[in-house]
Amino acid sequence: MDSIRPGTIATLAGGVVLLIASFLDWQSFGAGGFSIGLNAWDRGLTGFFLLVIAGIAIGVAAVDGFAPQVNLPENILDFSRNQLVGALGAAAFVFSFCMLFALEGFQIGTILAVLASAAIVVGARMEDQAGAGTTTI
Amino acid sequence: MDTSNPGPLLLLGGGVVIALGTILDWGPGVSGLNVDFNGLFGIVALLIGVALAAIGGIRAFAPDTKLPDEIAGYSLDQILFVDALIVFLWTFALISESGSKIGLHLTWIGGAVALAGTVLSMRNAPAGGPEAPTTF
Repeated sequence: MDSIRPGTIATLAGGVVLLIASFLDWQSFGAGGFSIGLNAWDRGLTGFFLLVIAGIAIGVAAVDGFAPQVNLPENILDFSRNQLVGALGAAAFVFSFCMLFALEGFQIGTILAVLASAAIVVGARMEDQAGAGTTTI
Repeated sequence: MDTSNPGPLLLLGGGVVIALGTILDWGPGVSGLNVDFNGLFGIVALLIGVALAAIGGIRAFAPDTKLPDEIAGYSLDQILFVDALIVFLWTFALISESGSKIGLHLTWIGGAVALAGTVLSMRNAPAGGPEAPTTF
């Protein structure tokens, strides 16, 4: 573990922040003088899917960075491992970005989710271009 | 039309169903295109549905039409897979909310069909061809 690549750190950090963001307020509604906050877990299975995406990003980055001796599948369908992580990050990014435009504006959870998922996409792309998961150095 | 590969037809059908679903009700009196509760997601889903249907239609009925093999280092099938995944994943997540309506159900079903179409297209891509997996 002498040198952890920036892509690994970005993916790992993005996954952790995405996980935290799912529990923070995404939307806020005023009702009868009160303000009601909704997080991702209040929107059906949204929180669960964000948890899965964050978990995969954290798991893959942690293995690549700290336990390279662990064998993970290198290709799934047409995707390399990091391309798949990037695809899942892109899915989280598109959804959270779209939610920025919802009624009553957006809250801190949405902003963090956008930034975290973007970090996952960029980190996974950097890892893919560095050849992580496909080349043994 | 290549009947041995149903992928493009599934893409076409899935894309049409997604586009149709977004203009129908997702919740009580709220269509998918209403930005109040789901932000821009319904509009993005509509655009994805149209794109999936267009590419599926071209592949099924005008296979001689040249489509880009790669965009930014990703094959077209990979990009279509991610698009279909976005629609399927988040609309499926939202159906467990109370009050989900026919439009939301049609959209996630369309997303699942399009996702199956992209997977079949990937599996039927010629080995070593432009849509084969990239190895480094």
